[in-house]
Amino acid sequence: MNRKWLKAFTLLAAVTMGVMSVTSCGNANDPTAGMTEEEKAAWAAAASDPYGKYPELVTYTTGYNLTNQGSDVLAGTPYENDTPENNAYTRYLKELLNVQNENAFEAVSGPDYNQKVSMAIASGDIPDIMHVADYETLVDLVESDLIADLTDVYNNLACDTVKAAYESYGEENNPLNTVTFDGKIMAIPKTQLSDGQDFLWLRKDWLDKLGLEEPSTLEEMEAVLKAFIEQDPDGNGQNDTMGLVVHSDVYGDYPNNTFAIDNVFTALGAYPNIWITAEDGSAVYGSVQEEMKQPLELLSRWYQDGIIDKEFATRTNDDIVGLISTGKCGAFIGPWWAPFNQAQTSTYGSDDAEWVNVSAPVGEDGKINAISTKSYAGFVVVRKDFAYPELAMKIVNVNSEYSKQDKTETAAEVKENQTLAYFNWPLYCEVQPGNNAEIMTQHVLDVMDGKADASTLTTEEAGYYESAVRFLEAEEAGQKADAADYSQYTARIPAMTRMINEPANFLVPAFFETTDSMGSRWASLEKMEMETVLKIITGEQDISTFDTFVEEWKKAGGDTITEEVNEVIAK
Amino acid sequence: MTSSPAKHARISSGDRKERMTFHLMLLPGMIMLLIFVFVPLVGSLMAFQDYVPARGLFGSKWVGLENFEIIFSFPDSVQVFWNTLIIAFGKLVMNAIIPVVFSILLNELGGKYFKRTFQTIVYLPHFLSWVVLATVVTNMFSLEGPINALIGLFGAEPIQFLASNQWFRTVIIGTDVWKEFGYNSVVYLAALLAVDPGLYEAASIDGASRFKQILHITLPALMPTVVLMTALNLGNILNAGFDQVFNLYNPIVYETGDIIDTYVYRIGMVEGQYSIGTAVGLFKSVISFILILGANNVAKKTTGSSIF
Amino acid sequence: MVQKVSVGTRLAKAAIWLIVILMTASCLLPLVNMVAISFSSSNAVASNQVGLWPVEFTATTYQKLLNDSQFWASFWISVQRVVLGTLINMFFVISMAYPLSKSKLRFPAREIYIKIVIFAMLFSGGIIPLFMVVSKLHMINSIWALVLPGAVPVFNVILMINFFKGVPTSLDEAACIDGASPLTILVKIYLPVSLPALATVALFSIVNHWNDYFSGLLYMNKASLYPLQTYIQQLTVDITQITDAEQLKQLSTMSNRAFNATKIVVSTIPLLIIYPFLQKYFVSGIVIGAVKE
Repeated sequence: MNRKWLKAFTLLAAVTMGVMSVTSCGNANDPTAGMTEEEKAAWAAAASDPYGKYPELVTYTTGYNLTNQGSDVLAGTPYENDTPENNAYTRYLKELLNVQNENAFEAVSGPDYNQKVSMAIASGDIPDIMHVADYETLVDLVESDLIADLTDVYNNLACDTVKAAYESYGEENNPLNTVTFDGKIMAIPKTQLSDGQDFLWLRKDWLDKLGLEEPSTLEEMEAVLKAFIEQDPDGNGQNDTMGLVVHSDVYGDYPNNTFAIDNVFTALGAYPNIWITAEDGSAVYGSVQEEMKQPLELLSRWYQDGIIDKEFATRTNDDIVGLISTGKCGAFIGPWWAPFNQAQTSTYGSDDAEWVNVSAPVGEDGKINAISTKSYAGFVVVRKDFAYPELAMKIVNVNSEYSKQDKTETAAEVKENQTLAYFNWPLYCEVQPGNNAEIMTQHVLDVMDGKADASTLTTEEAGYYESAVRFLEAEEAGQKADAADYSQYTARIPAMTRMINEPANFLVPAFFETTDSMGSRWASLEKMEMETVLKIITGEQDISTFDTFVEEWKKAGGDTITEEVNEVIAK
Repeated sequence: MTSSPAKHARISSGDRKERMTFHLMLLPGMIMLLIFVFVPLVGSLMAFQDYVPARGLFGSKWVGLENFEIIFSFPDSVQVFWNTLIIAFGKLVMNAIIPVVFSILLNELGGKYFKRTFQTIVYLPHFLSWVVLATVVTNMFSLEGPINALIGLFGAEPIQFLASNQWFRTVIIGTDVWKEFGYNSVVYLAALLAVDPGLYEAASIDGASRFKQILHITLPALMPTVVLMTALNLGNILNAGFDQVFNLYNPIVYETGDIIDTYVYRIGMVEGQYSIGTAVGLFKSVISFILILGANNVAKKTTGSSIF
Repeated sequence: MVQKVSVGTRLAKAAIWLIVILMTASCLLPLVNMVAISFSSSNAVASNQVGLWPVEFTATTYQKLLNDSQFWASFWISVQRVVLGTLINMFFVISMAYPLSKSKLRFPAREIYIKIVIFAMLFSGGIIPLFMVVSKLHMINSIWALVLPGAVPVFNVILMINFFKGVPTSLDEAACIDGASPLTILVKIYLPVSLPALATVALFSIVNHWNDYFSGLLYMNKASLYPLQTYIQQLTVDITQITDAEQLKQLSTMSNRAFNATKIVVSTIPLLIIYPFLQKYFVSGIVIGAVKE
C-alpha cells in the first residue's frame, strides 16, 4: 500500500510540475496574411501615421492602472456603468484609432499594480502593451528579451509634443537615455512633471492679524512661527496654537512629500536622502555629509522651544491634516499643489482661512534651494512579437497631444472624466515637458489678462480657466466658492505665479536608481539614518551622535554602495 | 516484518476496512495540500537564488547561502530578532491568560442574554484592521489623549508612549491583547460549555467556594485547550504582528519596536527582494516547526498525551 | 457567618461585573467611533473632531453607498465566497480531523499524516509559486482561486482533532460492536456532540474568508471581481506605500475618511449578524457533558 501511495504522489507531483513549467508563447501572427493589396495598403497607412485609424478593430491586451477613488464618484453621472474596458478614454481611442483594450489585469497604481506586473512576468505571460513603474523591472524585461525594440516606432510615429517634451529635459536628463539599451529604444518613458520647489504655506489671515511680514530667511521664519504660537493668532483667547507641523519622514521624495521639511536642510546647504556631486566630482550621499549637523542642531533647538510639533514622530498624515483643519496650526511646508489638500480646503470652507505660499526658508542667496526630480516616472513596453507595436506610441500620442487640442464633441467625455478621476488613460503614460504646469498657468494667465483668447487654450487649460473664473466670481459676490474651484485657483494662479516669479536654485542629484548592494543593505542604512535624525531632533541624543552614525553607516555598507554608485555613473 | 501475537489479534478485517476508510477520507485533503502547499514549496528555492521574475525559478542565478549571510550580517539583525521574540512572546502569554480570565469571569455571570451580548461585543475589534485602529490607538496614547489625562490626575508627567522605547512594546502587546481577547475567548467559551454542570453541583454540596470551584474544576477543564492553542500559536513566535507594528511605530522606537517583518518590508521597498523575503520566511518556518514539535514532545512527556 | 460569605460573594460578583463591563466597553469604543465618523461631515472628520458621537450629523455617505454598484457587487462575491469557502473548509476539517483523532494503535499511519499536516501549516513557498499554480490551473479570475488554495485550514483541522479526541471512546466502541461503519459513527455520533466545536471552527472559516483581502488582490485581475475587503482595501491605501507623485497628488485631494468608515461599518455588520446565530449552537455543548456522565 505504501508503494501505491508513493506512486500516486509522484504521479501527481509530476503532473503538477509539468503543468507549472514555463510555457513558451511566441506565435508571431502576421495580420496581413490573406489580404488584398488594397487592404494591405490601408493597414500599412494606419501603422505609419501617428494618428492613423485601423481599417478594422484592433484588440490589444494590457495592464490597466486604476485610481484609488471608489467607483461611487461615477454614481449619478452618465458614466456610472463604465468599466475599465469601456469608459470615456477607451471609447475615445476606439473612435479615433479603432482600437480596444482587453485588460489582462487591473489594479490601483502603486504597489498593487506593480505586483500584478511581477506576477505576469513571473508566469511568463505578459500583456501586449503595459506600463511598468520601475527601472529594475524594465532592465529585467530587456535582459530576458521579452519586449520589443521600439526604435523605429518612436522615430517614425512620435508626435511633436512628445519629441519636444523629451528634449525639454536637456541632453543629459533626456528620459530617452534611460530606455536606450545598446542604442535601441526599448520603452516609451512617461515623463515626471517637475513640481518645482516646496514653499512655506502660511495662514495669511493670521499674518495680517498679527501684523507680520512674510518671512524669508530661517530667522524670519522662526519669528513668525513663534508669533503663531504665542500671540493667539486665532483670537480665541487660549494658548492652543502651534508652530510648524512636520512629517514623521522628516525629508525625502522632494517635493511631493507634503509636510516634510527638506527646505530647512537645503537652506543650510544640506541635501539629505539624495546622491549629490561632491567638490571632487564624485557622488556622495547627502545625509552623511558634515552639512547635516547645522540643520539638525537648529531643529533640535526648535523642538526644545516647541516651534515644531512635539509629537511629530508619531503623527500620521491624517493627524497632521487634522491639526491644520481645526485651526491649531497655520504653517506647513508643501508644494504648489498643497491647496488640493483637505488641510486647506476645509479651513477655507469653515474658517475663512486664507493661505499663501511664501519662498522660505531661503539659502544664502535669497532663493529656496530645491532638488530636481528625475525625468521619468514609468515606462510603456510592448511584448515582443506583438503585431502592432506602433499602437503603444499612438495611444501615448493621443493622450499627450491630440486629446488636449480636440475640442469636438468626442473629446467632451474625456474632459469631463478628468475631473471625475476614476479611470486613467490606458497605458497610464502622458508625456509633457517638465515645466508643463507652469506653461499651462502662463496660458491661463494670458487669457485672464486679456492677452489671448480663451479658444487658444487646450481642453485641460480651459478647465482650469473656468475654475478660476468661477472662484473669482463667487468671491466677488461675497460667497464661498466650491472647494474644488478654490483648490484649482489657489494652486494654479497665485501659487504658481509665485513659483514662476520667484525661481529657486535646483540641485540635480547625481544618481536616482539603485545598485546591487543597495537592494539588500539600504533598509538597514536608512533605518540607522532615520533613527539618528529623529533622536537628535527630539533631543534624546546630542549632535555628537551624528559622527558615530556616519562612521557606522560607512562600515555597514555605505562605503560599498557609494563605490557602486560611482561605478554606475562612470559607465 | 515480525508481529507479536497481540498485534495480530488486533488486525481483524474490520480494522483493516476502517483504516482503508480513514486513508480514503484523508486523500482529498492530502491532494489539496500537495497542490497548494507542497508544489509551491519549490518556490522556497528562491531563498538560495538571486531571483528575478523575468528569468523564472529555473533561470535565476544560484547564490547558495548568500541571502542568509546577508540577513545575519545586518548590524541590527540581532536586535530585530530579539524585538520580534519579546513582542511575540509577550503576546503569546497575554493572549493565553486574558482570554481565559475573561471567559471564566463571563461564565460566572448569570443572564444568558447579557453573556451573549458581551460576547458579541468583545469580539468586535478583531474585525477592524490595524490601519483603522492605529488612529484610535494613537489618539488614546497621545499627549492630550485620555491615557495621559488619567496619568495627569495622579500628578505624573505626560508620556509619549509611542515614541518611548520604554513603553512601546508594552503598548504593542497591550493593544494586541485588547483587540484579540474577545475573539480568542471564543474557543475557551466553547470549551467551558463542555464542562459538566454536575461537577459544580457536587462541589457546591461539598461546600467548596466559587473560587475553589474555578480553581479545581473550570481551570483544569480549560487547560487542554489552553495548551493546544498556545502550542499552535508557538508557530507564530516569529510573527510579532506586521500590520500593527507597521502602523504604530516610528524611527525613534526602531530600537525596541522594529521586527523581522517590518524590516523585511522595508528591504522590499527598495526593490522586489523576493529572495531575501523568501529566505527570511524559510528561516521563520524552520524555527516554528522545531518549536511546535518540541512543544508537542514536552507535552507528551509531562502530561502523557500529545497535542496533535 | 453565612451573611459574611454572601457579602463577599456579592462583592466578588460586583467586581466581576465591573471588570467584564469595562473590558466590553473598551471593545465597543473603536466601532462606535467608526459609526460616529460615518455619520459625520467630511470636514469634521478631517479635523479629527469626531469622538463617540457624530459631528454635523449627515447620512450622505450611506446614500452614496447605496449608489455604489461595485460595493454591492463585491459584497455579493464575498457572500458567495464565504458560503462556498466555509462549506469546503468544513468538509476538509471533518474528513481529516476524524481519522486523525484516532489513536496511533487504531490508525498507525496517523503519525505520518499529522507531520505532513503540521509541516503544511508552517511552510509556504511564497506568493509567486502559489500564484503560478493557481494560474496554471486556470483559476485566475474565478471564485475557485479564492476558496481552493486555502481549502484545508490546517489550524482548524488540528483544533477539531482535539475536539474529536474529547468525545468519549465508549460511544465509538459501542457503535463499532453494533457493526456501524466509521462514516456512520462520524455522522451519527461524532458530529451531533461536536456542534459547539463545529460552530467555532465554522466561525473561524467564515471570518477568514470574509476578512481576507489579499487573495482577492492576487488572483482577481479585474477590479469588478474583487471581493468586498479587497475593494475596501483599495480605497484605504496606506499613503506611506505610495511613491508615485501623481498618485500622491490624487490622494491628498481626497481624504474621504467618512465614506471609508461607512464602508467598514457596513462590511462588519454581516459578521455581527452571523455570530449570535452561531452562538446558538455553542449552547448545545451541554450535550457532551451529559454524555460524559
